[in-house]
Amino acid sequence: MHAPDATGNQTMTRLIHIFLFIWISSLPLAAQQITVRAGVDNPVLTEGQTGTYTIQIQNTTSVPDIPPPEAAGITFSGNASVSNYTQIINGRTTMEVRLSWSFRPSRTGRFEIPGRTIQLQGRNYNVPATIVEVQPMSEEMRSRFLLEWDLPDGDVYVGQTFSANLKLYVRRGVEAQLERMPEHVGERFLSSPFPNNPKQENTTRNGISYTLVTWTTELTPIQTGPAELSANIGLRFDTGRVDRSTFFARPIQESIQLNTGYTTISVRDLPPGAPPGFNNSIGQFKVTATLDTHKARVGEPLTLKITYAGQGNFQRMRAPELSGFSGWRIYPPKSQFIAEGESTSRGQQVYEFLIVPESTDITTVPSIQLATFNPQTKAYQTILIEEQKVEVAPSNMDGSSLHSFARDNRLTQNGQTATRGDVLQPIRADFGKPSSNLTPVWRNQRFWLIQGILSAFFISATLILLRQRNSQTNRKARLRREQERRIQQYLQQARKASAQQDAAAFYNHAQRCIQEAVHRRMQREARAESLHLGDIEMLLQGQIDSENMEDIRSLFTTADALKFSGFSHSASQLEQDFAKLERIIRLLLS
Amino acid sequence: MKNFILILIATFFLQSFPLLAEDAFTPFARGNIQYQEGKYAEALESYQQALSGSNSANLHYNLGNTYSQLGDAGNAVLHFEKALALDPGMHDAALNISWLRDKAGLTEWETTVWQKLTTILSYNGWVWLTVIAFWATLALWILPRIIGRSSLFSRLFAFLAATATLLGGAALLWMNKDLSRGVILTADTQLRVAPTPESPELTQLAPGRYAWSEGKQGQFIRIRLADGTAGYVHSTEWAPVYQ
Repeated sequence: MHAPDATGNQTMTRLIHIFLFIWISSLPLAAQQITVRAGVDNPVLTEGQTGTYTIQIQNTTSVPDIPPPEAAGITFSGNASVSNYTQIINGRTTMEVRLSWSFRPSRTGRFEIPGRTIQLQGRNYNVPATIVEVQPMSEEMRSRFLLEWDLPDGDVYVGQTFSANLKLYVRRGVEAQLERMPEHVGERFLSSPFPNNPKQENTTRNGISYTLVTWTTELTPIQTGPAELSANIGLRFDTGRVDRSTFFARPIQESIQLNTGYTTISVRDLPPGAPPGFNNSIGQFKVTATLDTHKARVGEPLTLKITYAGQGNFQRMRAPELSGFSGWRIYPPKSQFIAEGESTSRGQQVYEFLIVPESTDITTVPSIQLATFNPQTKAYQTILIEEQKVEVAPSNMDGSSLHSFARDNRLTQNGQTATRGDVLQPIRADFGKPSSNLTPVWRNQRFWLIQGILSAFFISATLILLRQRNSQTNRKARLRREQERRIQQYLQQARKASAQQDAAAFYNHAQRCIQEAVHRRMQREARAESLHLGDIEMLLQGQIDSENMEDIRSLFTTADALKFSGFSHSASQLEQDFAKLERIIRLLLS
Repeated sequence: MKNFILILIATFFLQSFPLLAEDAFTPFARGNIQYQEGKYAEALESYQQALSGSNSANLHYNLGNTYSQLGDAGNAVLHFEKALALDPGMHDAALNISWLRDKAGLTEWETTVWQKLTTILSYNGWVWLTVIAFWATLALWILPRIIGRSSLFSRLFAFLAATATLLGGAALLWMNKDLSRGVILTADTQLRVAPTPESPELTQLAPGRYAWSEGKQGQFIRIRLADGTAGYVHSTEWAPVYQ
């Protein structure tokens, strides 16, 4: 009985061991709960330096959607950079998610990045607060760079546009490049963009030589009360140290963020009691008004040009309102700003009004009251533009259509060219030249038909003319053709004579025909009649066989016999001789 | 013979009466009267009736004015453009386009010197000039050489004709792109990414804006704007200047 018990105990012991092993192994797994930590890469920064804030979430792989932290005096980058880490230490696996933001403190001092609660897998976790300290820049570094605003003295008014200079001092001998363009900080100001080509000059400050870079911008305060203004810039500079870790020793460069610190500007509201005609123009202006002409007809527009010239908030002023213009039709003005250089606060703002007299009773363009605010004198300035005399003649159209013409619907004859593009030009009275349509003509089949006919005509004419020219210029060809023509002519006459049983004529034509054919074959130009039988025999020697030569001889001798001795012949002989003649001619022309 | 001529003159004279009488009541003349009376909708109808019968730069110009008065800037610009296509020297049409586009806040379409030079003639005018000059060049240059009677005058005229051919050809090449130009007609025109009504919208286009056609896909037309942006609009929202 003991033996089975011992075996059973051993089995039980093994099972307990396996259970304990599994239980002990599971303990660390069960203990791996999510933990959240937060920190910065460098808790003590130097003024102008950029740091990195990181939230570490352990024992998870899921990435929470967390907005950037918010802390007074610190600017964080918008999106977090996310990274996952997995570590195995002593057989223990640890997973971690890190979310990082770069940040830039705006001043020196102690900052707290506050703690907050984040939600992960349905549970809330606390992110602890983090402390960052920003120490002032060392005197040595401070003496290398300096960024500051050069602002006008005194208070400014809301809506006023003024020039401000942002000045960057870089100590002579320091190699630095612009890494980031200047940015203005201050929600209570609108600013024109900083120019890409700042002014650069050498200067001395506190006995130290600097290169001074100046960006001029136009600032416009948009709220009253004290307004903070700042600006920052990114630079990259040579530290003066050399990196000798690589084969090629390189100078070590570092980035630095410079800021001006906050300057408080007092922004005042405009004084109450703005006079009529004030169009929100703040600055020092000279206002003028001109008319393009003092003579007009009813329904014809005149141009009234009101110009604000000087320094001020041209971008924010409204068009002046023309009041008291009864009997005139006024169109909304066309405005144009003519800048003086690159400045948006210096130049001329021109408003062009089209004013149309509606009756001949009008004798003047009424006076116009305008007003501006001068921040230097801190007072409104009223400008009165005197009335201007005009002569308004009746419309040159007949009375029945006068009413409609006064509504811009004037009817003119074709050919009258309007000089203005500021109103709708009148309709045309006549239908004008009828046109086919707006389809390009080459899309029409008729067009190509005409071109085809012209091409055919031109090609034909060219070929004919070329042939004519060839016939005129090529003498041999002409001669050949003439010879061929004569041979055919003689052959025809011989056939006719054979048919008429006119032996004398037949042999005469046959003789001539052979003479011409020999000429043609030998390409001779002499007269065919001059060729005798002896000549023919000599010329054709070796070129035709003896039988054909004998036939030629026979025809010649028969012709001579007829001429000189009245040789008699039969009808059948003429037919045979014509057949011979045809064969000989074919042979000679071949 | 004398009687025959008299009958012929009488027939012509009598036939001209109904023509003169009809002229005062042509749809075009009627449209002008209605326009002057401020009856723009009726004037539009009359001008469109006139357009179905015949075509002229003045008719398109008056149609442009009528559409302007009715507040339809898209069709107004389209008809002014058509008037200019038929008669490039119509200064008033150019002024009205400028006025309308200015009013609609559309930036002026920058025209180059070459484009301005091509407006000396209409497109078809340039085609005919080129074709006639081409045949004249062949006739004046090649034929006298074949004939062998080439004179100084024929050479001079041949040179002028050849120059005109080259100029005309260059102008046609330059104007070729303009053949696909059209105008946005409706106020709520959306430039779409794809040729479907459900497609995302790139931007909204103002009526009177110029756009160049790049082909048709179903009910949509692919267009390209002057700034290079391309997309699709419904075929009812855009119309070509040249048919």
